[in-house]
Formats: sequence, C-alpha cells, structure tokens
Amino acid sequence: MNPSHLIAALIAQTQAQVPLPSPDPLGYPVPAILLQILSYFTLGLHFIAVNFTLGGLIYLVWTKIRKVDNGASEFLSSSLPLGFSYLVTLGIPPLLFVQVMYGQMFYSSSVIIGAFWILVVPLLILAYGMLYLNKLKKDTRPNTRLVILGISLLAMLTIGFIYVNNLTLSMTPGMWMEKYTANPAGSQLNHGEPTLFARYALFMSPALVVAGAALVLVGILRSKWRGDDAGVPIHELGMKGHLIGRVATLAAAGALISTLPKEFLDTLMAGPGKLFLIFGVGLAALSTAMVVVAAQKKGTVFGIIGIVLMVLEVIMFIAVRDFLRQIYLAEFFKFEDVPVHEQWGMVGIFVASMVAGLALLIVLTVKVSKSAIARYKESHAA
Amino acid sequence: MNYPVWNFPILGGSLVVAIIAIIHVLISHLAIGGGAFLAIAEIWSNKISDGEKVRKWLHKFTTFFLVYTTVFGAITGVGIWFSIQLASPEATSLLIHQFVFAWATEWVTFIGELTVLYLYYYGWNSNSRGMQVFLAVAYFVIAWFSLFIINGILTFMLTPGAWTLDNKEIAWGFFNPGYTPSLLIRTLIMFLLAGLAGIMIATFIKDDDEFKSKMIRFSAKWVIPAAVLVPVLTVWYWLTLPESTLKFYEAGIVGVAGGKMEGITRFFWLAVISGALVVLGTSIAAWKPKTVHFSTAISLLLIAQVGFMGAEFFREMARKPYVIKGVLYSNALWAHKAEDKAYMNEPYLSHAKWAPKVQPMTLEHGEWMFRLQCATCHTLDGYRSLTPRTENWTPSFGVRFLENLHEQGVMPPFQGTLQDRAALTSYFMHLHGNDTSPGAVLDTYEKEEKAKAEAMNASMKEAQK
Ligand code: HEC
Ligand code: HEM
Repeated sequence: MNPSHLIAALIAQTQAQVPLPSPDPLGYPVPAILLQILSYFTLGLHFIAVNFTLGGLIYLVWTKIRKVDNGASEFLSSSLPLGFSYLVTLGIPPLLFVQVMYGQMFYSSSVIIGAFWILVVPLLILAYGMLYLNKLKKDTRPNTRLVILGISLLAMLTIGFIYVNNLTLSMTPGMWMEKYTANPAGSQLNHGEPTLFARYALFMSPALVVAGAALVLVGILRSKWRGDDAGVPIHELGMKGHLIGRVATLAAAGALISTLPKEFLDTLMAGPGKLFLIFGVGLAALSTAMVVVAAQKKGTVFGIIGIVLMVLEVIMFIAVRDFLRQIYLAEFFKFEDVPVHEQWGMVGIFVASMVAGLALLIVLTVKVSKSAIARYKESHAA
Repeated sequence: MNYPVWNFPILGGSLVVAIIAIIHVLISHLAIGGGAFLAIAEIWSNKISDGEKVRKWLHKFTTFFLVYTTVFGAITGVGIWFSIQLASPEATSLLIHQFVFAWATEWVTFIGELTVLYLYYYGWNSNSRGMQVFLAVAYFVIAWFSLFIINGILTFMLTPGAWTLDNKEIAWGFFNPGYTPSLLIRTLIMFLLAGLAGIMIATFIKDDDEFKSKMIRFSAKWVIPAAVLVPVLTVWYWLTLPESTLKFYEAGIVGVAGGKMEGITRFFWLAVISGALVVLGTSIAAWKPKTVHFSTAISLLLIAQVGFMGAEFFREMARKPYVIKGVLYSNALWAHKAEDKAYMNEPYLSHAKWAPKVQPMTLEHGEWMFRLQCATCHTLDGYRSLTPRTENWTPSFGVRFLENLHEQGVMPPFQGTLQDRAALTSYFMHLHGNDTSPGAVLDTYEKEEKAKAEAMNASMKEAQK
C-alpha cells in the first residue's frame, strides 16, 4: 500500500473515535470569509513581528559572539523589546479569530498539550524580560550579556516550537484520543507528526529574512541621517543574512512539501491555494530584489517597498497555510456547518475604532519621529 | 461536554487561572491609573518652579511603569487567555463567540496604549512639552477605554442579566447589572495603585528629603478617592449580586467541606481589610513622608496584591458552581441540559466525547468519571483535593453523596447512572487502599437501601397497626 492510502485507511479507521466537539451554539458573528481575511492580515503582521524580533535577536547574538561593534547591536538592543511587545500584541487578533473559526480544534489540541501550552506564558515573560534586561543594564560583562540574550533566544525558539506542535495537532483530530487518554495532564507534544520539524524550520527561517531586510533599511537610514558611511556595515550584514535566510527558507519549504501527505498537496494545488502560492513566491522574489537594490543603491524607498512586499508575501503564504488546514480538516469540519448570527453593529464599532485609532497613531508617530530624527541629525552633525 | 478536561496535577486548571489572573489584575489596573498619574504629573510639572526635577523623577517612574506593565502586564493578560482555554474551553468559546468584536475593539486600545506609551517614553528628549502632556493624557484615555470594554465581559460572567443563549443580546449581556458599580470601583482602585507606585518610586530619591516628601505627598493624594468612595460603591455592587451568592456568603456554607466554603466570606473580608490597611499605611506615609522606605512602599503594594487576591477569589466563588452564572456550569454542563432528566440519567461515559472505551464497572470507569466530571474543579492531591475529602467514604455514603451533589450548592448536579456513581465511589475508595470493586459498592448500597426500605415499610405497618 502506498503511504497516502495508508493514511486514508488510518483516518477512516480512527474516525469512529474522533472526539470532535460540536461548534459553539452561538455560531459565527460574521460570515467566515470575513474572519479569514481579518485573521490573515493580523497574523501576517504577527509573523512579521515574530520574525523581526527573533531574527534581530539572532543577529544581535552573532554580533556579540563575533565582537563586532557596527552599530547594529545598539539599534537591535533598543528595538527588540519593542518588537517583542508588538509581536505579542499583534498575536492577539489572530488568537481571537482562530478561536472563533477553529475553536473546537484549537481548544482540544491546546488541552492535549496543556502543560506545554501554559509553559508559553512564563517563557514569554522570560524572553521579553531578558530583552529589557539587556537594554537597560549598560554595564554588564560581555559573557553575562551573552547568557541573557541566549536565554531569550532559547525561550523564543521554544515558544515557536510549542506553537507548531499545537497548530499541527489541531489539524489532525485523528491523533487526539490516543494522546489525550494516554496523558490527560497534557505533558506531551505532538510527537509522531511527520511534518513537525520541517514546518518548524519553515516558520523560523524567515527570521533572518525579515530582520535582515530591516537591518538593510536601518543601515541606509543611518548613513543618510549622519551624512557618512556609518551604516554600511549594518546594511551589509542585513543583506547577507537576508539572502542566507531566503536559502534556508527555501530548503525548509522543500522539506515540508516532501513530508506533506500527497493527496493533501494535490488538493491544495487543485484549488485557489495554487494561485496564492504563486503570488507568494512572486512577491518573495520581488521583495528580495528590492532589498538587494536598496542595499546597492542605498535607496530608502526601495528598502521600504521591499518590506511592504514582504508583508504581502507573508499574507499570501498565510492564506495557503489556512487552505491546507481546511484540507486537513475537510472530513471533520467545514465552515458551512456553523450557523452565522450576525453582529454587524459590533463590527461597525470595531472598524470605526480601528480607523480612528490608526489615524491617531500614524499622525502621532510621524510627529514624534520627525522631532526624534531632527534631534538625531543634530547630535551627529560633525 | 465537548472538550477534554485538562488534568493538570496539584494546581488543577482553576488555580492556574487564578494565579495568573491575580497577578494580572493588579498590574493592569496600575497600568491604567498610572496613565492618569503621568498626565497629572506632567501638567503639574509645567506649573511649578522645580518642574524639571519632577520630570526627571517621572522618567524613573515611567521606566519602571513601562517594563512592569508591558512585560508582566501584557504577558499575564495573554496568559489569562491561555489558562482559560485550558481550564474552561467551553466557556471561553462562548465568551469569544459572543464578544469577539468587543475584544477586537479592546485590542485596538492595546495597540493604541502601547504605541502612545512608547512615543512618550522614547521621545522623552526630543518631544515638545505640549506633545508629552498630550501623549500622557491620550494614554490614560485609551487605557481607560480598555477597562470600559473588558469590564463588560468580566461582569457578564457573574451577572449576565437579561442575556440568554436564545436572545444573544450582546448589549444586555455587556451592560449587565454589575457593570457600572464594577467600572467605578475599578477606576478608583486604579488611581489608588498609581499612588502606591508613585510612593515606591519616590523612595528612590536619596539626597533631597524635601523633594522626596513632596513627591510622596503628591502620590498619597491618589489614594483618597478610593478610600472615600469604594465602601459606598461596594454596597451598590453587593446589591447587584445574585441571591445565591449572598446566601453562600451569609451561611458561610456551614457544613460543606468542613466549612471550607466560608472561603467566600473570608476572601471578601481579606479584600476589605487589605484595603483598609493600604489606606492607613498611605495616611501614615503622607504624614511622615521622610521616614518612608522602599520596603514600606513595596509592602503597601503587596498588601494591595493580597486585597486583589481576596477580590478575585470572591468573584470566582461567587459564580460557583457556574462559570457563567445560570448558563454554564464550571464542568461544562449546560444549565438547560441539566434540566433534561433523561439526558442527566444516561450512562455518562456514553455521551462523554473524551472518554476512551472502558469496561463498565471497573476502576477505569470510575477514574474517567472523575477526570471528566470533577477534575475541572478538583485535583486528587493538590488544590481542592479529593483524596482527603473522600477519606471516610463508604459505599453507601459515596453513592448518596454523588446523587445529591448539587445540594451542596457549590457543585453541579451529578450526571450519570447508579452504576456511574458506584464506579466513582469505588475509585475514591481505592485511593485510600480500600479495594472494594464497583460491583461490590453497588451491592452494598442496594442492600442497605433495601434494608432501609424494608425497615421503613415495617415501621409504616407498625404505625398503621
Ligand atoms: C463547579 C466546580 C465543582 C465540580 C465540577 C465538582 N466540585 Fe466538588 N466541590 C466544589 C467546591 C467549591 C467544594 C467546596 C469547597 C472545598 O471543599 O474546598 C467542593 C467540595 C467537594 C467535596 C467535599 C464535601 C464535603 O462536605 O466534605 C467532595 C467530596 C466533592 N466536592 C466531590 C466532588 C465530586 C466527586 C465531583 C465530581 C462528580 C465534584 N466534586 C465536582 C466544586 C466542584
Ligand atoms: C516568541 C513568541 C512567539 C513565537 C516565536 C510565535 C511563533 C508562531 C508560529 C511559528 C506560529 C505558526 C505555528 C504553525 O502554524 O505551525 C504562530 C502562530 C500563531 N501565533 Fe505566534 N508566536 C509567538 C507569540 C505569540 C503570542 C504571544 C500570541 C498571542 C497573543 C501568538 C498568537 C499566535 C496565533 C493565534 C497563531 C495561529 C493563528 C492561526 O493558526 O490562525 N503568538 N506563532
């Protein structure tokens, strides 16, 4: 028997014992498509922030180990706590929407790995706290600093791994019963999941890509605002890391494809997933091209375009990721099974507050940045 | 029962939630009150001659404030999510499906709060004075709106008001009877906490006693509104509480668990006494500001933390045996299902999705009864542990206790058959090394019942004669 048939047979066999919760009696507050869109956008921002922070931390550790002092570490030390803060905050809306859309699956898998899932909380505090410790303690010995940063990095990598365990388990209800009954305390991970490590690699490797692009931009701006070449080593470091990250991501993507059940992959490629995948790859190529041009020409605008394209790219891949999840879940659950009890009034309040809030934040950020940049220029004018 | 029950040892899911929530509640209130504190201090510093000194001190305050609220506050906030998902997935699902866009709106306030705070802090040296004041005020306003929103969802759980599963009226659930008093109490407590944090940061002023006194007196004033008004508002809040809660409180639940549920009464008084101590301590600090040490200041905050612990446990116990009062029991039994006699009397494991196929009337049967029906609230050997609480169980006592579970007031009705009760009783007896099998438990119980019935009959006949 070939493996895909084996899997199908296994699923058929276990299906009778799949303890699938019924959807929430309240149903969806808006049609599922709207939830999906909201989730893709906010999760896209979450992933960008995760990758910026994780990647930035890797660069920072690297500069500390190699003892290079090129200004990158100064920038990273002060901005990583901010990155962390936004990665957490931007994780909230996708956390809301995943519970609305896939609550039955998401809660179940969370409980099954419960002890690890709750471990995310202290790990977050640890990872985040260490970043502030690194920033605020100026007089730390280099080795102590490395330990501080190393703890943060390890904690972040662990959190990512726990996430991948939870999300993969949430897509494979056939595995639940056996795992839960063997260990109702939830002190287990999703071992035995064939895609686990490849998927983990695929989510972690873009860290170098995203933070690399950010460093390119930072380097260029630094040179520009100071009117010298102080930013060159920074943007060169970013450039190199960005390209290495791209290669690593590509390798991880290949590994993931080779571990995915073939019929799932076929189904994906037969649907809209294919289109999104192609768009994603195209955007990835374009964005890297922009980043390279930016680094060559020291062009701020290219750098910004490159980063914007990267955000869009991530959103495309997130859509693909979600289509794949629906394919995994197809025989257990469909959006159409869930009734919709519309709450348009609440949506209106949300959208209005969002528009007003964003407008205010943009105006304020521009104003504050302007005076900060002016001051920076002043203090570095020769 | 839709979801697996998280059998986390020793703590149990509910204590994990409580620990994270208690830490979070203090920080989150401080995060809002601290905003008002920053705003007023900024404005004040513009008006006085040594304003520059105040602002330097304020920078220290903000550094502490920023790290404390964003690292511990924001993460424990997310942590509450993680923990309630694990401890009460069914209830979390209900809240999420009803209030998701309220939460999404709250998230807008989070992003706003954070960003404004960062602009304020990172722009310290480059922003204009006007901008700093504006940012501080904006921070407070936005942060207070986050309370405005979350307060609706929190109070909903205890007093859902006119909301029902059928009408799904979000406005009725949100602006429920407990909403307003709770919002006002929380607002005042926020100011109080900001004052305490201010006093603490003021104790770092080392070589300027005059200035230290000034800052401590400024901070101490923030405690006054709560000291005066919270007692009054508590009476109002009290009047909105469900009758059953008041009954628990008054009775102290004599008899249940050896009087353990007096907990609710004790926790209430813990909150009251902590509050009084904080007010007293602050008054002394304001009276003799020069003598205030860091240790005194941090003790005041710790006492406030204890007060929050009292208030949080009170809130949790007040809901017992529900997570959402009158709608959903803590162990994920829907209140409307509990009224369906036929459903309640079905063999429990037959409709428990998460039970493995176990042989009926075995120890395993009993174990899964415990796991799925009791473990949301009880552990075996840790929090609210059942091993000691079932120490004296005999077959008949156990079976009868379970039959009347809900009559204790704090527990949901038992779901299942006589066999289910026998299996569970046998399981508990095994925990104490008594190896009476479920079948034997059932036999003993039935024999006793029969004997009782016969005795009853006999005495009836006796009486008739
Ligand atoms: C809604 C949460 C909840 C659930 C579910 C629950 N209990 Fe309880 N139980 C409590 C509380 C609260 C108390 C009283 C406080 C204490 O004993 O610490 C209690 C007390 C007890 C006691 C001690 C009573 C006494 O008078 O000594 C026993 C025994 C007990 N529960 C058994 C069970 C069993 C068996 C189940 C499952 C069938 C169960 N409980 C389900 C909340 C719950
Ligand atoms: C260092 C911290 C974090 C890291 C490294 C991280 C990483 C990840 C990764 C790798 C995934 C994808 C998992 C997969 O699909 O297999 C993910 C998904 C997700 N993350 Fe994060 N995350 C972090 C923190 C957070 C926080 C704090 C939140 C919530 C506030 C959050 C919310 C989410 C959500 C909701 C998803 C899944 C959404 C969906 O499937 O629709 N993350 N994260």
